[in-house]
Formats: sequence, structure tokens, C-alpha cells
Amino acid sequence: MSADPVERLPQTGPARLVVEAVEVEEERTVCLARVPRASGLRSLAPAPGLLPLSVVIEIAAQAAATAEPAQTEGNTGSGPRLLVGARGVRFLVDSLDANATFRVVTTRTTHAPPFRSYAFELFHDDQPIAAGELSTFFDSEGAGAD
Amino acid sequence: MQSTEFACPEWSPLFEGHFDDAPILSGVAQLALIERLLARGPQPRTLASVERVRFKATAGPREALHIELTDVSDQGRLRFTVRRSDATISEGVLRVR
Repeated sequence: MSADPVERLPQTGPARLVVEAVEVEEERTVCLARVPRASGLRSLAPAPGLLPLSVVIEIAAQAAATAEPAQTEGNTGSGPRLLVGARGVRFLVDSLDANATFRVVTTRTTHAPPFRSYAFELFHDDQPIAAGELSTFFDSEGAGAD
Repeated sequence: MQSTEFACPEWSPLFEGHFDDAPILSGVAQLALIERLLARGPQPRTLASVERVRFKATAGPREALHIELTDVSDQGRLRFTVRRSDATISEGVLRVR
């Protein structure tokens, strides 16, 4: 495994939103995240200086993935781990500052390969801004996601 | 009902780093497109929650996609689908305010 859990993520460049893994355990992660200036998600913001609210789901999915094996290290899977669903995602704010740093906590709730589910919470300045659940798919035996 | 058609060119920043070997339009980018559609509608609305969403298939550069939003209650609940010609890419239920 990579020494830095963030380097396990398949997202690179402006698509990588997690900037630091603060705590990474088998079933729980705490990470810091920011949306890079060059991120395509910024171009979809409802107004200048803001982020789409749904970006919190991508942040949480990337944070959860820091606890998973890297997809390029002795891994025979057919592609990157894919976000396949989310539910019960509540936005506690009306807008997100594009330059904010977010803290995200994820907890694995289900492990039924090739699917995994996680509960997550996002914070900005220690204030909760979103929470919910997400599911990912990764077939390490080589079958595709769709 | 609100709907729109779109396609992202291969040089779109939405594909940069997602992923290097096989560019995929992220599911979250699809949701963000829906947010923008809601914000620019005749009665601007923002997301309150994602009750559920399923990302059922992937879409790549230049694929023509169709987004459809349908109100299912007068309390800000709406259903969405993102389709390409041969498949539903994603679908779900949102609450807006």
C-alpha cells in the first residue's frame, strides 16, 4: 500500500478533492478536502465563488476510498472504484464556499463485495454541513460496473 | 417538468483526472448539472437533500445526455433521470427548497 492514503485514490489532478488523510482505519476515515481551482465541478456552481452542494458526496466517496487498497498495487480489478449510489444526504447549508476546507468523517457500514456502503458527515469550521450514506462498487475479479 | 440536453467535450475539465486512462463523467457532476438546472429555472431552487440516487452506468466524452426533472409533490420532492440513447445513466429522488 502507498504510505500516503491519499495516493491510493484513482482521481488525479483537479479531480482529487481529498488533500489530507488525518486518520485512516479499516472502517473509519477522517480527511480534509478542498476543491481545486481547476476542478470541473467549480464550473457547475450555481454562482461564482460557490460550489455545487452535491460535491460533498464526491468528497465523502474519496475520503472513504483512502481506507481501501490502492487500485494499482497488485490489484487485478477492471477499473476504478465507482460511486454507485447515495441516500439520505441532507444539506444543512444553502451554499458552499468554493475556497473552504472541509473535514469529512466516513464510517463503513456494509461490506458485501463488490459493494461497500459508508455513512459520512462533512464539517466546515467545525459546523456540520452535510451527512448521508453512499455506496461504491469495485469488482476485484475483473467484471465491469455496467 | 424541466429538461435539458447536454454533452461534454473530451477537453472538458470534468474529465481531467477522472480518470486518466478512461474518462468518465462523474455521478456527482451529473447531480451538479441538475443543481445548475434548478438554480436557473423559472423559480430558482436549491437542493435540500438527496433522498436516493443510483448511478447505473457510466458516460464518457461527447455522449449526448438528456436530463429530466419531474415534480412528484408540492413539497419540493422531485424525481430525475439522466439518459443517453441506449441506457439510463442515473436516476433518483431529490428534495429542493
